[in-house]
Amino acid sequence: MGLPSLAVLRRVPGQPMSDKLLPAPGKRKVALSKLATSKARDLAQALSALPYVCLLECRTGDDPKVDYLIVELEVELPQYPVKDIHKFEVCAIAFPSAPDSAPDILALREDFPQVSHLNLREQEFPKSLCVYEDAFAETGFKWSPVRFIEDVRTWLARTARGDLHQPGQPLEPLMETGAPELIVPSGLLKGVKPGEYLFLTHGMFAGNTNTIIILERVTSPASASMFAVYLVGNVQTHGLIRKKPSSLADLQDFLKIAGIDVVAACQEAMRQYLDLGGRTGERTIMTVLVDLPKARHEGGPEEWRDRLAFITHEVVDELSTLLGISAKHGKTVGRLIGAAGSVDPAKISVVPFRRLETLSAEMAAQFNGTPGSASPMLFVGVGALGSQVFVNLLRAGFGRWTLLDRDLQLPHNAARHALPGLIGEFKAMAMANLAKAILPGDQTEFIVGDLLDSRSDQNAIDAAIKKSEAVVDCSATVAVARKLARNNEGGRRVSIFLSPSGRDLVLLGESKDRKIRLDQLEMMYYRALLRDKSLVGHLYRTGAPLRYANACRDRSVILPQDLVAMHSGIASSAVKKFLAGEDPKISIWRSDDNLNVGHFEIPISSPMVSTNSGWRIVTDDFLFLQLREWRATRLPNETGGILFGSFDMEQKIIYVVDGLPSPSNSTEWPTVYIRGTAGLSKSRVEVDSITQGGLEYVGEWHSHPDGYSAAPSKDDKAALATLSKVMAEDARPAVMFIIAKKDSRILISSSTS
Amino acid sequence: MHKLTFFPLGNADCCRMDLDDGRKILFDYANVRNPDDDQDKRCDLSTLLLEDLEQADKDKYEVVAFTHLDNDHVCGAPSFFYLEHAEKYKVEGRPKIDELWVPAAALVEEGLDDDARAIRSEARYRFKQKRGIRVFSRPDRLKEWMKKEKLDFDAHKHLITDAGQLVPGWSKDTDGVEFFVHSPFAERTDAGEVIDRNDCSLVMQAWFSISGREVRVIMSADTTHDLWEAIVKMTRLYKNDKRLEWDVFKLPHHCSSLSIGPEKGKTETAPTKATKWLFENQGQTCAVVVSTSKPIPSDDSDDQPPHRQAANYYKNKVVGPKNGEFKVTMEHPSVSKPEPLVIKIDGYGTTILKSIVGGGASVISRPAPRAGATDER
Repeated sequence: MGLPSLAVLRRVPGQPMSDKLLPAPGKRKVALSKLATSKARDLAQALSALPYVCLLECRTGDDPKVDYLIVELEVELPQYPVKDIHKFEVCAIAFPSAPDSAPDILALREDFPQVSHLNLREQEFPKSLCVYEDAFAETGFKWSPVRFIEDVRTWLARTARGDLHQPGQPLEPLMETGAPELIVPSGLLKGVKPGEYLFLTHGMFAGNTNTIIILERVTSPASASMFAVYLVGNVQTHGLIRKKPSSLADLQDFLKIAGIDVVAACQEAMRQYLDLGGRTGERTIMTVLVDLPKARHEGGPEEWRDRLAFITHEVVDELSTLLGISAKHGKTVGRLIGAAGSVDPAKISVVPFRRLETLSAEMAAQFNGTPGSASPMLFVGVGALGSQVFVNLLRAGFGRWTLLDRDLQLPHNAARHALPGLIGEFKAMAMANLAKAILPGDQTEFIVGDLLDSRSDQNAIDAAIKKSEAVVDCSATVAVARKLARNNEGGRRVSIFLSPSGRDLVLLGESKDRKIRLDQLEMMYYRALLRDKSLVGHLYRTGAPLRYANACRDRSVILPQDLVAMHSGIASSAVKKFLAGEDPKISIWRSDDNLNVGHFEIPISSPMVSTNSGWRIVTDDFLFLQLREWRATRLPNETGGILFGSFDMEQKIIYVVDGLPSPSNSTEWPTVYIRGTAGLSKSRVEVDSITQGGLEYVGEWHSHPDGYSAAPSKDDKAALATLSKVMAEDARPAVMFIIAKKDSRILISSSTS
Repeated sequence: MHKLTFFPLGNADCCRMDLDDGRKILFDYANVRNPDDDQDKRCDLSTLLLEDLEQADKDKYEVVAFTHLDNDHVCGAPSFFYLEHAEKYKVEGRPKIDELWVPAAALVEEGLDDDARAIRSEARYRFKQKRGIRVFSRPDRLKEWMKKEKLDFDAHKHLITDAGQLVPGWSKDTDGVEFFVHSPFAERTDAGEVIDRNDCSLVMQAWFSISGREVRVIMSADTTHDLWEAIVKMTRLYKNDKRLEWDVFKLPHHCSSLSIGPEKGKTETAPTKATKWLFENQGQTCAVVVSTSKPIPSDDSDDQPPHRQAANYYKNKVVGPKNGEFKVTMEHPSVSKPEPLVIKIDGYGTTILKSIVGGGASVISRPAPRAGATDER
C-alpha cells in the first residue's frame, strides 16, 4: 500500500514533492495513543513541538508487532551536497515491541542512494540507515526523542557532505550486531595474490555456531577443511553490496562492478581442489574472501579496504555440479572434461560473514593509541612487576622481545603474577607462550637463565643483549643492574623496581648514547633519598627499615597486587615514553594511603670518571659544587668532612656522590684542618638506613685556602697513609678529596694487597 | 569555515561575519530588545555578542560597519562598543573596533541625536585622526565639511572608497573574503536639501572564497527599487555583473515591497526590470534570501514592512525556482522561539544550520519563568 496522501500532509509548503515514495511499512494507520511502544509514543509526541521534523502518520504491523512513525525530516543540506540526499526526506521509524531492540530507520524515498553506513538487509529497499555504532541496548536507557531525531538528521546531513565516513571504517553496509564472524590469523593473506586459493583448516567453539576460526593454512587439499578463494576488487569510492547476498549469483552481480568474476574464480578453485586430491562427498566448506579497496575521491589512492567473507552451504559434490565442473549421473558425480557445463550460481547459497583478523602487534599499538615499536628488546626478570609490565608493553605492540628469567613459577607467585597458573613452568617460557596467546603472531623468544649465574648460557644471554636496542631490567637486583651497566653491547638500559613496601616505583634509565649508565644513576638516586625530604621512608617497609630483604625475591614479602598492578601500568607507560627520548632519567612515583600518586623527577648531574691506583673513581659535578660551597663558607680557614659513596670490590670502582660538612668539634686554621667527630656516627647510621646500605662512608675531603693549589701537602700525605691503614682492615682503599680555589685532587691509597 | 549570523531583532539589523582565520566583522548593531518585557522574543544582542567574543578569546571586531544611522541599525551601539572620541565611551571590557565603516553621509549629516550622534562623533574623530576608519563615497558635502573643519582632502583621501571599488586590504584569495562597494554614490548624497539616508546607505557584495568554493553575499541596507535600478545600471555599464551575483541576499528594509517595485501588489509585488534581473537572474542555485524582520504578516493591517506581497515574490519567484530558501529572522526556527540564523560557508557552499534544541538545552537558552515565594506583582 502506497502513501499517496503524504504529499498533502507535508509541513513545508512551496517545496515541490517530486520524490516517489515506497509503500509505507505496517498494516494500518493508528492513532498516536494506540502505539504499542512507549518510545514510539514519546517520539511521536515530541515531534509535534520540534522544528525540522513532521510526523506524517503512525502505523502498526502485527506480525511481528512493530510500531512505525512515518516522518518527514528537514535535512541541514549544504548548497552543494556530494551525495544525493534531499532537503526533505521521508523515513519510517520502526519500533519493534521487544524492549531492547533498536529502532530501525528506513528511508522511504524510492531512489534513496546507495551510500555508506547502511545496514545489510535481505532486501535492497527500503534502505536501513545505520545511525548507531553502539548496540542500542547499551544506550537505550538514555532514550531521548530529541537526541534520536537529531542523530538521524545528523546522519542525513553528514552523508550529504560525504563526511559521515571516517577513514578506516567500512564503506560496505554494516552487518547487524550478531552477524556471524570469520576470524582469520593476522597476516594469513600476506603475499597471497588476488585470484589465488588457499587450503585451510578451521574450527568452531562448542556452543558458538556464530564464529568460525581459521586455524592455519595447509598445503594439501586432503588435510584441508576449507578451501578459500581470495579476491581483490578495483578501487571504489562507494559501497557495492546493496542487500544481504543470499546466493553466489547475488555476489556475482555486486562484485562485477569491482571487476571481480566470482563464479569463474570459484570454478578455478574448485577444479584445483579436486585435481590436487581434495576430499569429496563430505563437509568441506568453500569460502570467498573478498577485499574491496576504497578511495576517498574518484581516481584517488586506496585508503582502506572493506574485508568480507562469504561461506557456501553446499557440499563439494553439489558445489562442483552447480559450478559446472562436474555432472551428476544418477547418484555418481563425475568431472567434466574441457569447458564448464551448465552453471547455476543462483542455487549456491552464501552466508555473509564479518571477517576479522587476529590482533597483530601493529594493530595492538593502534588500539592503544600509543606508538608501537618493532625494535628487538631484552626483558630481564619476569616476576611480579616484570610479568605485568611486559604484558602491558606487549598489548601495546611495543617491542619484539626476548625474555630472560631463571625462575620457576611457584604456587605463591600466583598472588602477583601475570601468568594464569602454570605452576612448575619456567616463567620465561610460560610468559613467551602467554605472549602468543595474547597476540597470535607474536614471536617472543626466551632464555631460562640468570645473568649472574655462570652455569646459565651466558653466550645466549650476551647475544640477546647485543641484538637488543633496549634492555628493560625488572630483576629488582642491584648486581644485575650493575652487570648490565658494565656491558658495552646492545642498547640503553632501563631499570624498574618497587620500593620494599610496594608504594613507590623507581625508573632509572640510561641516556641513549649510554654516556650515563645505570650504576651512576643508582648513586644519584641514593643521593636524592638522602636529600629530598619528600622521599622520606622510601626504602622502609611498614615504617621501619628492613635489612637484606630484596623486595620481590623474598617469598615472605607482603606486597599488595593492587600496588603491583597500579605501578606496572605507570611503569609500562613510562618505559615507552622514556625510550622515545634520548635523555637519561631518574623517576620516582610515590603513592599514599588513598592511592594518590606523586611523580618526582630526580636531577641528573654530569658524571666525572677517573682512574687512580687501579681504581675507577666515579663521581659527579654535583658533589664538587657542594664541596666548593662548603669550602667558601669557611675561608680563610681550611675545612673538610667525610664522603659517602659505595665500593664495587669486584669491579674495583669507587662511587663518591655525597658528603658532610665539617663536624662542629673540628679544628679549622688557615693552613691546618683536623676533622672532628661530632655527629658523624649518627649521620653514618642514618645514611645507611635511608639508602638501605646503598651508600656508606668512603673517605675524607678537605679544602686548601686561597693561594694554594690542591697538591697534597706533607701532612695530607701522612693523613692519607694513616687512613689507608684503617681502611685496609675492611679491605678498602683510602679516598681523599682536596678542594682548592682553582683545582681539586682525588687521592687513593690502598694498603691491601 | 566562514560563518554568517543574523540575529532575530524584529525589524532591526545585525549580522556578524566570522571569518575562517578568526577575524570578526559586524554589519550594524541594533540592540532593540526590551529587557523588561519577558514576552519580547527579540534576542539579547549584547549578551550574545559578548559570549561569542569570550568564546573566541577576543576583545574586538576587526571591522564594524554601520550601513546608515537609522535607529534600527545603530540602537544601543554607543553603550556596547568602546568608542575613542570621548572619555565616557572608553569603558574597559567593551569590544573595541579596529576599523569603522560608514557611508560619507554618516560624517556630514546634521541634526542627529542620541546613538546616531555618538556614532557620527566617533566617525568624525577617527577621520580626523586618520586611522581606524573607512568612509564610503566622496560627495561635495564631505568636501565642504572638511573645508569647514580645516581638513586637507589629500591627507584623508586614502580613507575613502568609492562605489564600484573593492575595499582596500581585502582579497578573497588571501583573506577569504573581499568587499565590492555598490552604494553610496556621491551624486545621490549631494541630491536634495536633506540627506536621504536610504539613498546614501552602504550596499556591498561580500565575496567569500574557501576550499575552492565561491560564495557571494549581498549586504543591503534600506535600499529602494530605484536605488537598485541605479546600482544595476552602473554595475552593468561597467560590466561588473558578477559583482551582483549572490548566494545569500540580506534583504533591504525588512522585506519592504518598495525594495522590489513601486506597487505593493495584491498578493505579490511585481519587480522592475532591474530588480527582476537582480533577484531572479543573479541568484545562484539553492540561494538564500534573509529577511531581517518581524514574522511575515498574513494581512495588510500594518503598512510597515515586512510586506507579505514582497515575501511572496521572494518565495515564489526568487528562491522557489532555485530550490533555495527564504528565511525570516523572527521566524527561524519558529515564530515562538526565534534563534540566530547561522549560515555556514565552506567547501560545500552555504549551509543553514538547523539543529533541534529541546529539553534541558532549550530551557537554559532563555530566561527561566518567574519563580519565587510571593504571588504579588
